[in-house]
Amino acid sequence: MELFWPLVAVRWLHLWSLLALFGASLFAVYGGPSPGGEEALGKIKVWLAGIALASGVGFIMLMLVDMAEEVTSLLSASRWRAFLLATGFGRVWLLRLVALGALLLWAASRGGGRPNRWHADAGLSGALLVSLAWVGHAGAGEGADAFAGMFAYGCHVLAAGTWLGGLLPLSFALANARAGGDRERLCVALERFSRLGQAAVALILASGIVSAGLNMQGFADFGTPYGRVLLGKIALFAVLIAIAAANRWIFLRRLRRQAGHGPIQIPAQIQAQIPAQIRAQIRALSRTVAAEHVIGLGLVALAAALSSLAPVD
Amino acid sequence: MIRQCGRAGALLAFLVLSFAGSAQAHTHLKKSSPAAGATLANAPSEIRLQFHEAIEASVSHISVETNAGQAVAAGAAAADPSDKTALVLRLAEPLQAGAYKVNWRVISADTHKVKGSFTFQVRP
Repeated sequence: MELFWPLVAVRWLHLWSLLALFGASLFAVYGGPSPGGEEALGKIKVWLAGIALASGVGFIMLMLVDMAEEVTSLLSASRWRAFLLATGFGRVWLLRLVALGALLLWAASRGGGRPNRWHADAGLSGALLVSLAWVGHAGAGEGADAFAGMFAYGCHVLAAGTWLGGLLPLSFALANARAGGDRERLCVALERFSRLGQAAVALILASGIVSAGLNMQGFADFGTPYGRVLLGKIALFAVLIAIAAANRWIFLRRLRRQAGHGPIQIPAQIQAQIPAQIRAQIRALSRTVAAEHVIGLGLVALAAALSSLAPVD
Repeated sequence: MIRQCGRAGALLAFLVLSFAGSAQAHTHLKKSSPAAGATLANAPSEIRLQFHEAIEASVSHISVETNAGQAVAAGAAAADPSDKTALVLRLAEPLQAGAYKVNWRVISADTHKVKGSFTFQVRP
């Protein structure tokens, strides 16, 4: 019974929901509450926590069936005991499930969300992301390799979450500004996101190089399925960087210039009074942020596939 | 611009290669006792599989069947307490002369499944 694609799909959902939750929570910490989107984001975060828990449960069920090669193993208490209590990855998953349940309860208990308590969301979802290192390729190494692999994985997912997860609140801020909301807050959010995004790119690159070095023996491995998926991931990442650079160096600069000086100082006005050029720049930014979102989803899917493939055959 | 891209690529290649050399992979069967394809004068009392990295014995599996496809009585495969890369199946009874097939399925520490099979013979 081969469950490769179902496992990749569930892994993708799990990774994406945690990355989005982490980045969106962190955005509230460094960029302030998302203008116009606080309540909606609070609700989305409850959904994300629910998806993370459901996909986590689904993932271990699929893993059990895949390992035992019997669907009936789902009904076997002894199989579950062996899986969850007698294996290293099972014990990690057990702890992760408890943490995922706590994350959902925490998110749901606040309803619309309270920005001043989002540090806890960021901390818990970040810890859940990093803990995936213990149940993947990085955790299979030994000694210094294992430490380097897990450290690199942790940096990689946290940096990716900071960037990709931050796109969600940024989209709300852009939509709010398009509708005539607070442009100054948008500009502050864009500036902070952009600065942190550059650090995230550097960290993603550095940790990605360390992981690739640990997982592959040489350039010949780029010919394996793992290597080809990794090449696809690098190509998508390059496109993402190009779009982010265009946002930072073209659209954001134009926005500032057209607004007069520095961060946009236009107070909230009715839409008819907003200069058309500024509206056009915000529309362009919204489109490129949406494109980043779509490419980010593709990148996470490739990351999920990489986790399911053997680095070296 | 092209030169700069070339330099960046060379730097990337250097960095990747400088970390490369101890690749993490799914585990592989390193050796077995009886060895694959072996013909034995004495029937073995156990099947022992050695992998190149640690495995999770509690969710791993070994079974033995005769040439006719009949399962050979045995307990559950277990870890070797002194070697976490080994999986051992103790046979309930001595094997009769004939050909046997060993099917194995192991789960490595990174949760991945690896499986395979091999045959051996016991001489009359």
